[in-house]
Amino acid sequence: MIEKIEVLETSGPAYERRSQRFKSWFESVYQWHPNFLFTPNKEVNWTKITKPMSEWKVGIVSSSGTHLKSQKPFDIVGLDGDWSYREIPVDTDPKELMVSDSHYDHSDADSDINCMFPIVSLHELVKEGVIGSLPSKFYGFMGFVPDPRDLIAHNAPEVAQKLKDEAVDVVIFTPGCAVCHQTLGIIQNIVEGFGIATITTTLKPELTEQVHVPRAAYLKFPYGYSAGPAFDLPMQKKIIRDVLELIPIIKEPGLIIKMPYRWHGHTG
Amino acid sequence: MAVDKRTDELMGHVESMLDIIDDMTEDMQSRIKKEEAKENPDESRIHFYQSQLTRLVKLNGLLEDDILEVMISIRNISGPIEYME
Repeated sequence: MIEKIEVLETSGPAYERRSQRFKSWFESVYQWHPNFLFTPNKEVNWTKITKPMSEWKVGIVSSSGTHLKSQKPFDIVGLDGDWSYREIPVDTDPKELMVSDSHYDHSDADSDINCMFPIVSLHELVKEGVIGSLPSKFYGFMGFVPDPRDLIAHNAPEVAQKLKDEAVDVVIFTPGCAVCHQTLGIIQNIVEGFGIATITTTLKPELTEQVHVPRAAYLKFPYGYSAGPAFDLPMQKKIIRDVLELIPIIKEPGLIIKMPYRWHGHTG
Repeated sequence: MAVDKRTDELMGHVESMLDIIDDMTEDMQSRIKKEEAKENPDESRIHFYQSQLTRLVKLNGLLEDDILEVMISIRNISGPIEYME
């Protein structure tokens, strides 16, 4: 467990700097993606978890563009993005996974998918008895969805229902690119609304806080490492465990916790 | 390793600086502690160490909060730039 819980500042110089970064990004995003529709969650859903962590069934939803090599790749060319999703069986060999997304650098994740899609970390945490079990499937989205209206109407609730049908207690969300943070925040809030406690890692807190999500953990890492540094399983596992442990600690919707890790390159 | 390796090299320099600053900070903290534990601590020495500590904390903040954040943004943009080629 992290020693000191530090909430992201909501005033002062750090907050001002973050707001400025959001403003700059928001003004420029339309130059790259003219059909981008800023869609913050109007109300933040909230599900309290009462079970001990050792009994949780934990799922993964990622907007990193992760899918099985045997599945149809996500559409990375279309200007409208791709709001479809891929079901990833829980017992998938990580080597059978790949990333279809050209909006961020995933060169390390191409060799070690666990730095973005924490499938190995979760299996290890089950083995160690830290968490209880895993559902039969995880879910991969490609987060470049400039206009998320169809996602909100169809695919996000569909995935939320599937998670609910499997009696998943907790879902960890991991983003890919910048726009992915909005996409993922929307899916996260919908899943939370289905009575499942959720937490997302964020690499772009200035956007996550504007989208308004139930719970978030800020990793000051580059895109492509939303579940830890590559090729460092102990650190990846520690990060995922620390992030999950925040769920019962965060008592107020919308809080973003600063994680105490410093970026040390791809070798961890 | 980033697709544009230069961004990792840039960040590596800052990471190294931060490690050195951590080391110097610990050193100053330990000197202060040691001096304070003496029967007759030398106040001027303690002020001197504290003054250095303040500078180190400031430099750490600049590197972590300003420079590293900008470098992460540069690395983030360099990915799509390389993929576009």
